[in-house]
Amino acid sequence: MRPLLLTITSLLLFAGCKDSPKETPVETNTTTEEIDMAANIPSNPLKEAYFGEQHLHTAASMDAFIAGTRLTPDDAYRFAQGAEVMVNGKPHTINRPLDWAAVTDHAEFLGEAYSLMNPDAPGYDSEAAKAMREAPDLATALTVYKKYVLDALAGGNAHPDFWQGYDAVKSQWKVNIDATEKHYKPGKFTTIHAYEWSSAPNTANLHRNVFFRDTNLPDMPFSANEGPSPQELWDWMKIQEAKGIKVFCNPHNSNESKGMLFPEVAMNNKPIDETYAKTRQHFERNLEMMQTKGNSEVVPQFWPNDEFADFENAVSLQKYFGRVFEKHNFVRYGLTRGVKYYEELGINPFKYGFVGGTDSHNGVMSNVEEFNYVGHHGMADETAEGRSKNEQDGEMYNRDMNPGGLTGVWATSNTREAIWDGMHNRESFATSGPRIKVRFFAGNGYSTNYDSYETMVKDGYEKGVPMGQNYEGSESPDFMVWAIKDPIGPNLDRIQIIKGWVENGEMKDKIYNVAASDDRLKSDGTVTPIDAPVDLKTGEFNKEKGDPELMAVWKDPEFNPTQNAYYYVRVIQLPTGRYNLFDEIRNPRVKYPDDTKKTIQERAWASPIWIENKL
Amino acid sequence: MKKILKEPLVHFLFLGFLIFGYYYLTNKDSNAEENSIVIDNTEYDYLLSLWKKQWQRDPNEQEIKAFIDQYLRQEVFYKEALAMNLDHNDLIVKRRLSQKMEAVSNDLNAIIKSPTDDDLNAFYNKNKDLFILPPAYSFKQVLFLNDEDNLESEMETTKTQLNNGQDIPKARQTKLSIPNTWNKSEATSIYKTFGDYFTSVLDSLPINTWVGPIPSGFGQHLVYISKKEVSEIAKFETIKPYVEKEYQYQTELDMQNKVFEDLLDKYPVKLTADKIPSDIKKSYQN
Repeated sequence: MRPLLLTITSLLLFAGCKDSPKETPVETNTTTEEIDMAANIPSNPLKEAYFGEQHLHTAASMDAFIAGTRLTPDDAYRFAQGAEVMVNGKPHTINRPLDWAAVTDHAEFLGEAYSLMNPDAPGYDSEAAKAMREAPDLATALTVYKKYVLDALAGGNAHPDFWQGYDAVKSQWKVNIDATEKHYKPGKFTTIHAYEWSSAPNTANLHRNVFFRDTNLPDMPFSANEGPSPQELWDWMKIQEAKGIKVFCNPHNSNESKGMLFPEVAMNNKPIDETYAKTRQHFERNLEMMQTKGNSEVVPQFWPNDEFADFENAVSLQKYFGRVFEKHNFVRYGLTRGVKYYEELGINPFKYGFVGGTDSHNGVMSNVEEFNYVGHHGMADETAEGRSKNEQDGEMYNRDMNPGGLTGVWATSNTREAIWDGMHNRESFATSGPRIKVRFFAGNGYSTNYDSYETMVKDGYEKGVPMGQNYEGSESPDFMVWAIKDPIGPNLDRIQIIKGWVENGEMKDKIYNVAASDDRLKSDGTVTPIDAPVDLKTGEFNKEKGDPELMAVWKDPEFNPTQNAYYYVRVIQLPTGRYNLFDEIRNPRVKYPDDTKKTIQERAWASPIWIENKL
Repeated sequence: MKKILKEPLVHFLFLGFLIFGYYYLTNKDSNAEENSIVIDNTEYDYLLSLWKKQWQRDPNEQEIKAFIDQYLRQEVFYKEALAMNLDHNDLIVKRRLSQKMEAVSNDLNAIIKSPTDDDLNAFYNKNKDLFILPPAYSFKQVLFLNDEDNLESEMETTKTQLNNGQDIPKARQTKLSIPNTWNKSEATSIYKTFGDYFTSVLDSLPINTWVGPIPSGFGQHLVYISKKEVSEIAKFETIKPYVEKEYQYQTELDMQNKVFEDLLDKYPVKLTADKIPSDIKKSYQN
């Protein structure tokens, strides 16, 4: 009996200490166990598409905590693997477990999150922390958020008054690292160490998610408090690289960037120069094409000829913070401006592949299926009624949000290194949620008809390059595209290739239909419309029309060997019900405003292939 | 004895005793001066450190005066409020205190529930349904698309050929990128590729013969199952870390409930309001 009592007493004393959090040693080596495990993992040189989440917040992000989220990084990884968790007090599971995932909590308030969640931590009992923990409803939570966070920020304080300094930041970073390590099962489920750098100068969203290749990690993430300019982030990343840490980042929400994500001048007001471009291309590898706060590819007002541009544009975000849409905010503009920079500077600062994410603040990894959506922002959108009526405070209408996107990565195996490398090489693609798979190659001598999938893929790599790379040949390339439907979704409508280039100083882009289901692609390149309606009473999609697989080899009819250009792929699925349709079917009293679309055409975007002529 | 030691309530009483004892020893002489407010060196250092944490510098004299003032104000009102019983039935005080108590029970869990191998083994044996491996299947499949010409007869012909020992036709190898052969694949990963219905019928199919068509989101499949490994329970040794994770999760929930129930016993509940639905009333009667 005695030893037990002693244990209790000493632990109590320990628990009562008001010391600052300890210095956190960070592991620097892969364990031998991991290496052993890695040896037995099947590897496929032709690569497999692994689906996962690369943008997710848990209770360790203070804004999520205040909104009511209590799920930890540990819970988020359990959810990703199919375990049930409590979301806003109700049990919830992902429909299909993920292959890999990364928790990306805001670095800016990690320290506060530590104090909020650990009764032994200093600051736990502060007035602000208490108010944040105890906010019983949305209105109170918003008041608390304004009082302790926004006002502190406006007053020039980076932190509410209960912030305990960098030791607290390190402590929470360690908690996130531990959860990420605990759930890594090489070959089965990959976790990636990551965080979000959340800079928003003058409310222009410049956020970036930062990803590490292995367990060689910084003892603390670099937040926008330490440096709000992307160049400062890159400076920090350079220091990490010098220590052998492998790291890259992906920007997101260019749609909220007020023209600042694809700028003419850097934040120090100097024009973009060669060094800037080189550094940016080195560290920034993918754009998050779509997430809960909108699809950033294009909007109809600037791309009126793109018949699929009107898709999850989150237009109401323009009503807040002066984040009015301008052409500069969208991915296709950024890619084309990148080509122009290549011609001006000899290097493309915006050489991005694509990823998709949710940015859920509920801790629910890739909860992207429309019929399984339970909101992403705590109390603000937890019920169908809240989704139909509330606004996401200071951001947009809830009904303009969507369940978010998904990332597919082509990788040789489901390991941390292979997934990270796949994203780093931009051999990744984004989807608006469905598990559509898409491959994209540029080379010479591709066949329009292969006797098997394997020979097609083998040829793809042997005679050319995959998505994310430069086509280096001198002749007009064969672009080979292939896509397969989501097994639980409807068939595919079509595949398009989008080309961007610069002509006489003018930035241009053009959409080509390269494959269409049910033989609808006409010789002039147009496609006969398809009538595959969704049953608005049940939410069921049409199961007869379209094709499960589409494939094409395409040549650019306007190819010009001296022209610099990019080509990316868009795969369009047949229509399905949007989440608000399912909300209305399940809750007869809930009625979304008439401007809410009931059906959508989900899609996938494959990362570009570039042609960069020697200048 | 061992059982008693595991009772959360015993731990509570013990903790209470410790805390009471500590205060008794440290505050022995202060009984007479119960009303006085003392700022000794320890208290002063604490206040000073709070101030410095907020402002990131040393305070000047005026500022020291200000935080002492503030502290005294708070203490005076606090003590008077306690004396007047203003803390009783205050919603916020209630919520805060009950949260503190719950936090203590969570801490308790962390303290006393560091499980031994025996604990884990016992937990594993008692909760085997938590450790059931999902069913796994070894099978081959051949895919036909719904819009193929002569679909029905093609499938029948191919099924006969396959059952006669012929190879999978070249054109149907890895059709739509889907592998023909699946070895010991868990239901969850089959679901990811083939969807719900296909996965759910595998269990009912005969083994060692080509059957079908079985529909999936892609089309129609002929299927040959060579082995079903149905829901076996994972071996303790191979999943010990997982057992430990589950153990921690379950015991934390158990502990919370146990503490709540023990305390509930201590406070008899009388639901006298006649507006409470009777079913709910009954659920609180032991």
